[in-house]
Amino acid sequence: MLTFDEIKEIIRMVDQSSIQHFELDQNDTQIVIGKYAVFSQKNTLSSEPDCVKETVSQQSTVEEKQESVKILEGHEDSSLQKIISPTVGTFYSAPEPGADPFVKIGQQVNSSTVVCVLEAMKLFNEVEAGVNGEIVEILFKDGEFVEYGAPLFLVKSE
Amino acid sequence: MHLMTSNMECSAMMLPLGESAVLVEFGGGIHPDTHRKVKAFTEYLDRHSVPGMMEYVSAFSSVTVFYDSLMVKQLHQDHVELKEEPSYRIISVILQKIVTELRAGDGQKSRVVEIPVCYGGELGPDLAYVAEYNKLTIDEVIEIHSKGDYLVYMIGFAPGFPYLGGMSEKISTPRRQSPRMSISAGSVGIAGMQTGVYPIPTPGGWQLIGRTPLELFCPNENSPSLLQAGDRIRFYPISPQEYEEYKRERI
Amino acid sequence: MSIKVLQPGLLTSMQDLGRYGYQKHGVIVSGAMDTYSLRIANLLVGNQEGEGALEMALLGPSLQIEKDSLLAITGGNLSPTVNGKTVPMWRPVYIKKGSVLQFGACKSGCRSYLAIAGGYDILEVMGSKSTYLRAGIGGFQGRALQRGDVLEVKSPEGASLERVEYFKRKKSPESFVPASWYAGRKPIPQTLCLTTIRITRGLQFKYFTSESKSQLLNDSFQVATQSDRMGYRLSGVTLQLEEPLEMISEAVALGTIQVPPDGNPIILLADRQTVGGYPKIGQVALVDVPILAQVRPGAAIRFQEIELEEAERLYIARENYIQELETAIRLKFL
Repeated sequence: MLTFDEIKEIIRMVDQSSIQHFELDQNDTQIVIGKYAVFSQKNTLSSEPDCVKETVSQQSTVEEKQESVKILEGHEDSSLQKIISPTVGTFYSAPEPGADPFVKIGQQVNSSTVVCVLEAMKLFNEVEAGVNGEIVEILFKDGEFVEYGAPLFLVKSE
Repeated sequence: MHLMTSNMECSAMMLPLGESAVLVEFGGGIHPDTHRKVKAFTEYLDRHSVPGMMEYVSAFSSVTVFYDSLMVKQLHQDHVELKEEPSYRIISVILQKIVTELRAGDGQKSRVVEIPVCYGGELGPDLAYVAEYNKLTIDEVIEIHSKGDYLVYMIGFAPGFPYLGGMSEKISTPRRQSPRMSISAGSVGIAGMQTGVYPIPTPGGWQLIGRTPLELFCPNENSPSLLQAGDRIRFYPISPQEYEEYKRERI
Repeated sequence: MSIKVLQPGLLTSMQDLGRYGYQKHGVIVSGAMDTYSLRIANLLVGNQEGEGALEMALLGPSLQIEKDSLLAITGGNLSPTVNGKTVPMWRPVYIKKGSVLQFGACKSGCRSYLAIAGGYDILEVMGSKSTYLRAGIGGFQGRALQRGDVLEVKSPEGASLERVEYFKRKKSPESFVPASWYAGRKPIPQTLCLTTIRITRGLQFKYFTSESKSQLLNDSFQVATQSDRMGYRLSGVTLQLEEPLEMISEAVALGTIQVPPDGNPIILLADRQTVGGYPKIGQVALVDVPILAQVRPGAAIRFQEIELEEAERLYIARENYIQELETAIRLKFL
């Protein structure tokens, strides 16, 4: 089973090569990485692989590419845990507008760390991580409505 | 904001003071006739409550009615004509109607309150100056001040503080160049054409001519102010011994 | 049950929603400068929203809590801590006996409010627990708190007792247990930012020069350091009348902006006198008075004109909001 670091390394390698489409199916994990042309009026050399690579990569950082890699459901990576919403409400990543977010990607949390608030009926409910580990993904944006039981964060446990 | 007449020959403008009060302006400046209209209006308010009203404050030529917007809206939600109106208009309509219901002869009742004053000495350090400024003797100042018949136009500036009208211009004296940091409660003073009594210690620039042993502000009584708008005041001179006796009795 | 004042802070006084019904006797209203924060603090601990609470300005006190208590801190952030640990605001917090609740310097806003379940045991004067500092009546002995003062607290009953029990049942070993939820606060003005305050036209607005009218609504003003509970003195451009106006004393309201002869506007606040003889150029919308109360002396504000109907709509909307918040808080404890 691939570790998260290994996945990162694969992405970096694909990114830096001229490979446009890459698939890997290994035991529990399936990875699909694709580079797609961004056609704009300014870009007349869009058919050129080199230009395509540049067009895509100049807009984004490696981190953003990681987010576009879908680790498909059904292939449960048991080192990744979910923080589940305890209520319905509106998701906010920070205690108030303009403040620093509760947590960032890559940040270590323990079970009592407050990771976000869910606003319902004018009250803001703090959500604790409930698990130890590193925040890998934030599944909602500020202002989005969250159902009871929906996964809010993905956490990589030690 | 339109004028209406009443059988008291009285008209008033309704002026919103933000969204928490309406000022009812009778016009006519500082004058006993204007005061009578103000008094008639407040007497009406004392007898009839206005839904949503919290309290009123009367002044020389106006009465300001304080209200709660939400309460006014809620209490008029079934009123055919007014339910769509903002609260300040609802209140204005109600107060306009009151003006029309004032009758000639209203606002005449008044109490006479006699206020003992120990003039001069330590209790009236500026009495000599007032006399000198007006080219009078001290006794003449005391005579003129205590013979006056004063009308309490309004209470304000400090709790229980009466704005008195009717002082003789023979003893009018400008304010002190440098105000005092603290003036004792009960001090009787003159500032320009006005005379008054300080109910609580405050800084001030009035010329102090005497002191009364009476308490004009009594926070624990039913009415915290001894005086009210419309009272007629007479000052009468007392000796320092009488002053001390009076003070002792109260305690 | 009591609270002992170890350090009084800069100006800590007992306030509620003010003393109404006595202005005609010249008795001022007083009350909290930020009534919104005071009301929410009380609702959080299950008190009536107008119950007395401590208003703490700029530099907060140090208080010894002598019995397990449920309290709530709202308003500006005066850095409350217990044993060096930050006490979160805008929510009920259960504090164990013997804890020292320490406030410090102001991180945001200007005034903070401390409500306690059951309410402070303070005698009402003329129907209110507010302190009339100038006259020395009401509140705690008619004055600001001093070192050594002991505040008695009434035993919680009804809703406030239910909430105390709720936290007691958690049997936490910590010195304080905050709720895991909080009430949405309104924006607290930051010192470095320009705070916009909505106003309606004053009774004498029309007598000012057109330049002054324009400056009122376009320029920014600084809240002078001598500003206090009586009013906020503004410095900046001076505002002028077209011609001298003979004004006689008339009543003023909370938020009245009056302009004395020197042209520097004064916004009348909680401890204002009942009447005044200066021209009134504007009226602060009632909903913005609590925001203004959190602007620190030295900071800057600007005015935005709104219609009277709009000011009223905002007021009514705010009242409805607080009602809904009260319901939401109550549901948390079912």
